[in-house]
Amino acid sequence: MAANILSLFVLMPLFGAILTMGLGEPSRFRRVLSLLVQGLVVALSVFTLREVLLHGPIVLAVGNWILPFGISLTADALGVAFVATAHVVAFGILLQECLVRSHHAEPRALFPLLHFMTMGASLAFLTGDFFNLFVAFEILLVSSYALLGLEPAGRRAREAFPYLLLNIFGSALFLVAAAFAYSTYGTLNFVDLGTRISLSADEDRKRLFGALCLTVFGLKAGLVPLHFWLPRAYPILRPTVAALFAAILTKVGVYALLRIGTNVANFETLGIDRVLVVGGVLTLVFGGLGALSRSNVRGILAFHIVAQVGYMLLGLGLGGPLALTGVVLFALHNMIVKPGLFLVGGVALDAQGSDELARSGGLLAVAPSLAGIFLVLALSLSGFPPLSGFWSKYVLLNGALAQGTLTEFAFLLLGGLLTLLSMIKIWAGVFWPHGDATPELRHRISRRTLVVPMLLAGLSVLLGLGLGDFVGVAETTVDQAQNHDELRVRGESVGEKGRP
Amino acid sequence: MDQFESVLAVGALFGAGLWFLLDGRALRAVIGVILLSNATNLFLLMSSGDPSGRAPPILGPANVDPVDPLPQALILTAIVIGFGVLAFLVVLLARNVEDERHPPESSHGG
Amino acid sequence: MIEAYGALLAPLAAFVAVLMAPARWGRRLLWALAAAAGASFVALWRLRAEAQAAAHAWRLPWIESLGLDFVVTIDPLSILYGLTVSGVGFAIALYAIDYFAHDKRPLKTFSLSLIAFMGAMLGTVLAGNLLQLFLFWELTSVASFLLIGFDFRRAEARRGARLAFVVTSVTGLCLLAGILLLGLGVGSFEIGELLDMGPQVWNGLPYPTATLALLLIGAFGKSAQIPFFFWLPRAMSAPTPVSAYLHSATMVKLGIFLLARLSPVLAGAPDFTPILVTIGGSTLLLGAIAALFAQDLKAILAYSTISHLGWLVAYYGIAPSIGAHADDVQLLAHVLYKAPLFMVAGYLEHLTGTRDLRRLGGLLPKAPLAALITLIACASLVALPGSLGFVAKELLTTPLKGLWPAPWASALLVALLVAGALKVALAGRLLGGIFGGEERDPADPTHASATGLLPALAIALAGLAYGLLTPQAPSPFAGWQTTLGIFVVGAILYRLAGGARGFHRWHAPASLDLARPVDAALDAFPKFCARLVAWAQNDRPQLFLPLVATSFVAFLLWRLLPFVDSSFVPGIAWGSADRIAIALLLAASAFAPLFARGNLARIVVLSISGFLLVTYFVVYRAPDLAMTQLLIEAVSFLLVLYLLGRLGERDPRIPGFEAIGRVGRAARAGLAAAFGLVMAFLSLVMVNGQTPERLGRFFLASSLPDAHGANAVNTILVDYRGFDTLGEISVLAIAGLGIFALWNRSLAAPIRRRLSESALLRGVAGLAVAVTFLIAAFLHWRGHNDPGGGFIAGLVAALGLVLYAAARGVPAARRFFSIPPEVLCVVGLALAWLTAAAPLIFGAAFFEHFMGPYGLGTALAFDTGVFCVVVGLGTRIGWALLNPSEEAEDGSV
Repeated sequence: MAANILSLFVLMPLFGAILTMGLGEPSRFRRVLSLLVQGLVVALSVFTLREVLLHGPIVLAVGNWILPFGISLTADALGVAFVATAHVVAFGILLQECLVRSHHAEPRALFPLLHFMTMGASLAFLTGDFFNLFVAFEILLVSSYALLGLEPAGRRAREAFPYLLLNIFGSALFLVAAAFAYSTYGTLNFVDLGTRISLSADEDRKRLFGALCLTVFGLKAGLVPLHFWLPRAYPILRPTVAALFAAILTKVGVYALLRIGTNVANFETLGIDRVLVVGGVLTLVFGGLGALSRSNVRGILAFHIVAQVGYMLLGLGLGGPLALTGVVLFALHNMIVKPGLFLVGGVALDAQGSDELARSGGLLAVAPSLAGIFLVLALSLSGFPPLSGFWSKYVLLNGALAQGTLTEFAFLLLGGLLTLLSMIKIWAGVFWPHGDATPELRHRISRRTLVVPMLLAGLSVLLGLGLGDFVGVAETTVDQAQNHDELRVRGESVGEKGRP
Repeated sequence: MDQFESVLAVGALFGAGLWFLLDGRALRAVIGVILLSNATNLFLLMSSGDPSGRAPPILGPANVDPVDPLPQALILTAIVIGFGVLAFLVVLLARNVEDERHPPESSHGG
Repeated sequence: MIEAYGALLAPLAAFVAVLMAPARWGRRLLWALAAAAGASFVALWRLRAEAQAAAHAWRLPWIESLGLDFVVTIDPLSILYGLTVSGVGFAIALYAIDYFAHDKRPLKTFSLSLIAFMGAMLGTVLAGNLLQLFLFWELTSVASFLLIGFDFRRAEARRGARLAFVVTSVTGLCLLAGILLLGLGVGSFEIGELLDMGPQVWNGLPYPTATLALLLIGAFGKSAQIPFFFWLPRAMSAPTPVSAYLHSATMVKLGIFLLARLSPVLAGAPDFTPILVTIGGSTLLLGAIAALFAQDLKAILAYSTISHLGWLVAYYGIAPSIGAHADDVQLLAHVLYKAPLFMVAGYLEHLTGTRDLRRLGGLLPKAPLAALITLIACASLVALPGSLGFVAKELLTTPLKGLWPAPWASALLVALLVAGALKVALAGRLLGGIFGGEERDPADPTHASATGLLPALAIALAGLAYGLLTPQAPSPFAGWQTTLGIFVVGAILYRLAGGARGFHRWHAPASLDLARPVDAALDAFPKFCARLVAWAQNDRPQLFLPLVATSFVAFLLWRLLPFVDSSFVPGIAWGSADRIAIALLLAASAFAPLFARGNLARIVVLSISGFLLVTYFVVYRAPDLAMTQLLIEAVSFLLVLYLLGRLGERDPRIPGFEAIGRVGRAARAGLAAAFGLVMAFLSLVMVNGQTPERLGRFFLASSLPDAHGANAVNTILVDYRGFDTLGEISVLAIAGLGIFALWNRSLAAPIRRRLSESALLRGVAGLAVAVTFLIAAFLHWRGHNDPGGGFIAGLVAALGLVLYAAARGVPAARRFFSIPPEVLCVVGLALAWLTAAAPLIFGAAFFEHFMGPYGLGTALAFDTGVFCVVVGLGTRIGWALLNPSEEAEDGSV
């Protein structure tokens, strides 16, 4: 019975979606309902995280069918940590949406879509089945298509169709990978897949499978040269939606790789470890340079996402417990800080009417609190101590030294520098004036729009100061994820129907 | 080794699908998407193995050697999801065509 | 122990206090800084005795998983720096309160940054752990950035802040790298442990040269050594209290502090002395010379600071060889004269409105106190016997003379002497130029009160006293020859230059100013990046897919190569003739749209392809699949027909896709062909390696007994893997949301009228729909045991309803059906949700299905939910396509 709690991570957002679809107006009712539902999920995820950290993974057999025949929801510390972070951030974004739009109603489809996205995210982080992961990805993707279409700027943008067609192609490849997995290994359950792969002697086939997985998930994550769509798609979204995308969409790609690398087979067996290292470095550099090349805030932030993914992929390729812990830390920290930056950008955009750097400026004088929040988030992203970004970078650097040579180490540092330079660019463009005049604001920046970014920045500070044993939790997540035998044993004990 | 004709069909469908997808025009893109999903479904079907001499997965006393039902279920799910995406794509294209023809009042974009 | 933590907590408390305080208090907020500085000073003073006795470290557990503790170290070095930071901070706070007396600008951010800076400085010098040290080190950079950029309306201040931040951050990164290499090589970041190991540290390091280089770069960047010094003069665009505090007395000393702190360890590093002496010595000379060329008073002082920092670096380079232990004298010799000079500069700027030495003059009658302070300070600058500067010089030159003619010692000695002479000339320039000569008209005076100078006087007098009273002071007559020599040469230089006025004509060539190219590079770099990104085709969205496809093809080919061997070709086996025929037709039909003329022909051909696939499914023994594909094919055809209706004969370019030329078309063909081949090969490899141990066998065995259904595919869809189906209908709902968010009145198809004009259709419409519903119900019911199921049934029903609307019009259809389809869709989703969730309430497992009597069970309920979603959505979309009077929706389903 206790394991059934995991179902709530999917049931509750779906409930929220159904209610907000069914009960259209009034807008206030929708908002309160949505906040309530998401708030409950946040509480649930924190509670579950504590449970899992103390007592180990929880496995749920959906439909009570024995595994690996039924679908499993596997909540180990890795999955729940991601779920918790995603929901905390989603709640914040939802709250920001409500606070920013206090006077005009949002599009009716927005809240149901936000709920669906969180449902997809929870499913992606908790599922233990390869095809179910496909379904989760599709939920996320189609929600993102719909959210893209909500904006007039979005649907007419030159980037919308390439994004759509590219992801359709990616989904096709996902199915190909699933077919290949089932055909070759006879199962779709991750843990079972891992067992069968370890028993198989055909190394070439494993590498073929690895290539398929890397293409599919690398596309989602934004690995160079599969990343091109990412920085072009974000600038056309409204900032709260961009924040949600930043928090979830690329992270599921990285998470999927992490899950496969720990539960199914390590990257060396799959033949993608060196590719990840090289690809990670290229992504990191290209993302960093790309960020500097953009002239609007969302564009810069979107390229950062690419660069940050490069860090994570590099860490995955390096392998080893330190590097993997660094990847987890990095992903979780990014899920908090990146949306915060998008939200700050959104407030600035709202106030100045544009997020083109050339047409903004001078916010430091009129909104020093916003500047302060931005500063904290930007420094965290660049890896300044004592913020969350520093520790994630520190552990990754440790991992690089432990596994690799000085080259990867140097590139990781270079990445931090490029991030810093682009943050300075944003600061100079948005917060410092360009000349002597103070610019006019379209409307005053109200305090309530600063609450959520401030909380996110505060969370980064607290985690950086060591509260919550951020690093320790990340270590536990990697330990639990890599403990294949434990997961298998727990999986074997659940489910009653279908037992011989 | 026993489904070589399917191999050919799959290759043709994927190749043609990508060709149309890369074209850059509206209708052809839709054709490409449809071909691509057909190709993928066929690929999934091939994973169930050679069907010669076997029976459909409807169990009954006469049914001796049914084929693997799982890929078929997966394909059904994929078909449905693919259809949802296709519908969205078509409407998006239609909306774009419409906007070209009758541009709406400029809205302040983000 | 309380004092140790108290010294760090006082700035924190002040920070929080100022954060809460109202901004309009302006400069009164600076009292918090004074209070914190005073408290820290007192706390550290009380620890002096303890520190002299032995070094103490207090630790707090911090990040357990990394083995890091928060360590506060109290030893003579940390007390010295701590007292300097807090003492000078106190004086600066008082000075600043006066400095900003008539300044209207908001000071809250300024005060917060200054307090944060002081706290960070204290944190750095009291840190007992290298990572902790780095933490505070970086914070000083951030605070400095905010402080230099205080007057952000001036472009000069912005550029100065940016330059300083970039240089100190880049070198800071190097420092981090060095610390990591050091700490990870040794196994600990604790300074105490490192110092205990001493020079042995270098034996165990994997990359000793790199480690040393990185650590030194970090130190040199902060302390403005060659080649990183150029940021410091540009940082003078900060308000004078900041220049006096950060950029002369404290922050720039951090590099020196690091050298001092790690000196026992660094002494064992390879080439340690030559590197430091070279860099330090050349910086010493460079700074001294440049000070003579500059015209802005603060710039002069900045270069002089750079010069003295060079001295300090060289000192620490040679200190181990000469056994020197004069940290306090060396540090204070600079601080206690430089800070007052800066404060005087700020005062003079307020008095006359200018900092340009060419426009200052004859100020002795107007600013006697300033003159006195300058005199005392210059005494130390030129190392006048009796001054603290003299003590510092003697403590260095005496041992150096003893080491003559050892190469490093001698070179350094010469440099010191030359620089000494230059400094004499500089002192002459300052005193003569500012206070001597005739008075100029004040350019733009603002209020200047002499009370602001009192802290400066206090510091200068403290320097004087220290010089006279320190136990290390040598006799004033020691080495009088060199002293005299320096003075004489300096005086000659002064005369040769033409006195104080003479220096006005000196200008350094602009090409030597390193700051300008760096600044320009910082401006140009983003533009370079833009070009790089454009080159990488990031701005042509239509290339995204080809690039991905190419990467995929290349990667897969690489991984497929091992499978190419001679056993492949003979092993190819074909299926039965009918399958071959259908497959070949299928393959051909894929290419058929290429050759079709006209849009309608293309989609008809496409449909044929779809129907061939249906047949293929039948051949593959997949009845459910065949039925579904058939219905989907029909619906897709209608959908594409609708699109055709909007396009006419055209096929417009999608936004973002430009036309491709001949080469592009060839490339596209090649890519598509390669992709097709790779996928074909992949499928071949796949079918060659199929495993017989598969999940499907379980489903076949279990479907009847456990899931109570004979249709194994259906039981998988609603029971075993019903969770997938739940996701699938969610996707349908999401697509619906997306479609209706896009909806617009004009999107309806123009075919409505024609169809409804057929009387025959209208007549049979009702009957036809009823029959369709019956078929649907039948299919739905039998699905669990025979081909059928909720989805197929739903499609049939939806088709029926759409045809009804096509015949009789949508309003009639709405009346006929009476349930709004969007409601039906949501109800279906809710029903599915209930089926999944309800078992939890009754103590069963999530999504567990139960079979009741007469074949009714929760599985059927779930399937009904699916049915409702499909009917609802399909009908809604179909009706919307037919009826232009559907209101423009904004997200409702």
